[in-house]
Amino acid sequence: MSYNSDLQNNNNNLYNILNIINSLPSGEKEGQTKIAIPSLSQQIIAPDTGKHLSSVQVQPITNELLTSLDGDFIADNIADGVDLFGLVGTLAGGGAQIATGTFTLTGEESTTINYTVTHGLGVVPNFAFCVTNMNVNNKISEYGICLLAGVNNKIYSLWRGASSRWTFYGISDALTNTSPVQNARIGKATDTTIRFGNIMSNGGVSSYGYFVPGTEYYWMVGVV
Amino acid sequence: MRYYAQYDESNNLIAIGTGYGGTEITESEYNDLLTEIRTKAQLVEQLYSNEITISYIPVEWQEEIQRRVDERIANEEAIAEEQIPGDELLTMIEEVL
Repeated sequence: MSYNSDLQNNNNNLYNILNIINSLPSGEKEGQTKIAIPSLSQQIIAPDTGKHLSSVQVQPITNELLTSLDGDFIADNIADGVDLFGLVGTLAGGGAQIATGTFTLTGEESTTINYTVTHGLGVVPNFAFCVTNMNVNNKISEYGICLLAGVNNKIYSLWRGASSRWTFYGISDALTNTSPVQNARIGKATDTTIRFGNIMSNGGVSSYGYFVPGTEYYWMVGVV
Repeated sequence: MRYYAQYDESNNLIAIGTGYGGTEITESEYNDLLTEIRTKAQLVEQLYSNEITISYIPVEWQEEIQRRVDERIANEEAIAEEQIPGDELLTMIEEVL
């Protein structure tokens, strides 16, 4: 056989091979990749027309994704300190909610008969107290203040007088009362603040019991 | 722990504390302010009680300390003129007895 004849036979063979390739089933079509994002419903990942899937990449589950899928998946709805998918919860309680703090007045205000603290509970507390060190060797500080509020939103006011004994000193109206009754050393409470103090129903100022500048007072409010 | 300082409309420091509220400060700033507040409170008490004279007080504090003593005297004079409710008077008597 001549060289030309061999070359013609090779061309024929290549042509036959090309025909075979073109007649192969669809699974041998051009490949493609797709990305799947997890959702709340079933997804069917199918190739585009004339193509086949060579791979499907499934995105990871993150707290951002979960929040986008369900708006309730937020830190405020997860228990405080619990880490879910990288989202740390801030929801306090489930039972009692407590807030504590201290304050020390400078005496810069002309009166120190009341002071409003920010408790940040987000709800109106149903109990509270404010107390200081009763053993300060100071005439005024002997009249330490202790406020207790509790059952049925009534405020039970106790304090220690000069005779070094505790005195039950009245029951006020509800914490939300804007006009504290006489001798109940506490004032209006809101979902963010509460006023401790010494305001009396007649608007007068007691001759004792006011907050002493420079003395640290400890407070606690809560909801049970 | 969160430390805060609270100022009035005239930017005078009226309180410091821990917890929510006020303007957040550092623990070191809190301790410095606490020391200053207690020192001033003691000076007010001493000046009020005539245990010291105004010259004993640092010059930069004299005006403030004197003003607070004057305010205290004015408040007590106002209180002295106030009528005391009956049950409070009773409690006061009980404490003395």
